[in-house]
Amino acid sequence: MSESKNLLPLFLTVAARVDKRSFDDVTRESVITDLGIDSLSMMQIVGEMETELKIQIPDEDLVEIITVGDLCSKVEHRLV
Amino acid sequence: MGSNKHEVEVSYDVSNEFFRLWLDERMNYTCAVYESAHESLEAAQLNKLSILSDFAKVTADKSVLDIGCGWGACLEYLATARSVKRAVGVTLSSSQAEEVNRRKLPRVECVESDFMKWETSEKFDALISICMMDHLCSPEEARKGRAIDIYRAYFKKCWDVTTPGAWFGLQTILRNKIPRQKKDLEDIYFCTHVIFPGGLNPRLEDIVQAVNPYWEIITVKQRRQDYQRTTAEWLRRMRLHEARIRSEWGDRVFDDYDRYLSTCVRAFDQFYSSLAQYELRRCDA
Ligand SMILES: C[S@@+](CC[C@H](N)C(=O)[O-])C[C@H]1O[C@@H](n2cnc3c(N)ncnc32)[C@H](O)[C@@H]1O
Repeated sequence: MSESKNLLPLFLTVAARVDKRSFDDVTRESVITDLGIDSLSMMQIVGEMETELKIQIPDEDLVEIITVGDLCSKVEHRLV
Repeated sequence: MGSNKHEVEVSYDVSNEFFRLWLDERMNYTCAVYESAHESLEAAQLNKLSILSDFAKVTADKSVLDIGCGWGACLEYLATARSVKRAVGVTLSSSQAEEVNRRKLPRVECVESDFMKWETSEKFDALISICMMDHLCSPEEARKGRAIDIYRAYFKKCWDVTTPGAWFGLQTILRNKIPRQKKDLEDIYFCTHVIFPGGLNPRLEDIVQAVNPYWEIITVKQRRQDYQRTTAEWLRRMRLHEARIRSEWGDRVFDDYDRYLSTCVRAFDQFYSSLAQYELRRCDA
């Protein structure tokens, strides 16, 4: 995966918009639930990333997402 | 596993009289199949029963089991329109079982039991099960990856209670796509936890996987728009009785059912949910 497709910054922007708060010290290894992001916010974040990138992520891609990096990789994969 | 007796009674024992106000006269509480633009809900419910009976190859010489029989609409159809030799229904809800047995339908028996724990030595020639599978697996069990095993145990139990050569007319609601918007997510969460506690709609791929090695899928019919039309009609009828429902069962019942049915209409429109009917043949090799 090339650096240009790193979606961490987009994730952080969208997460801040959805949860109306800022996220500091987040890496791809951060566990999403540890950041206080619940499943409801998570689906809204996915939706906003889809709209932004004009892609659709099938639900089965979302089953095993634990870390921010898991989500970013799934989205990055759909961009190829 | 899935909805227990108490949870099923939350869904179906509000009051038979309450459901009678907005379901069709026979009280089918599942998707109807509309074959034309101006058909009534009553006619569309009969179409549904006819399709599933045909899938199950129901004829007068057969004994038929209806798993999750509700208030007995299908049992009555089997006994009267199809004149079957014997029709047995199983339901977890005591008020449904009482209602069916009170009607003393010819050659019909309704058993109050958890199908998964029901002990019987009787074998049936045909099976029908209409939107009962949505009660088998809870959201927590699905999250732990147990859905396929639970559904497969159901299909095995179905195999165990049938004779070789049996056919099965199955209908299930499906979950298709998780919403991305807050309100839709909250509304669907509400339906899953408040109206149908303990249950979760399966995904089509879960069913396809779980029928093996007991049943072979011959036909699948997708009925998403039919369920949208059915739930819209239930909502329309329920709203006609708003004043009575509020005074007899309280504001909470009206408001909850209004939210639930409105959510269904939207969920089918937006592809969040769907409905499928399956023609299944027992594997006997
Ligand atoms: C949505 S209702 C459908 C009723 C009916 N088939 C109809 O078309 O109107 C689901 C039915 O499944 C029954 N049910 C749920 N879990 C069950 C179980 N484990 N064993 C037997 N019946 C069950 C409920 O009691 C209810 O009658």
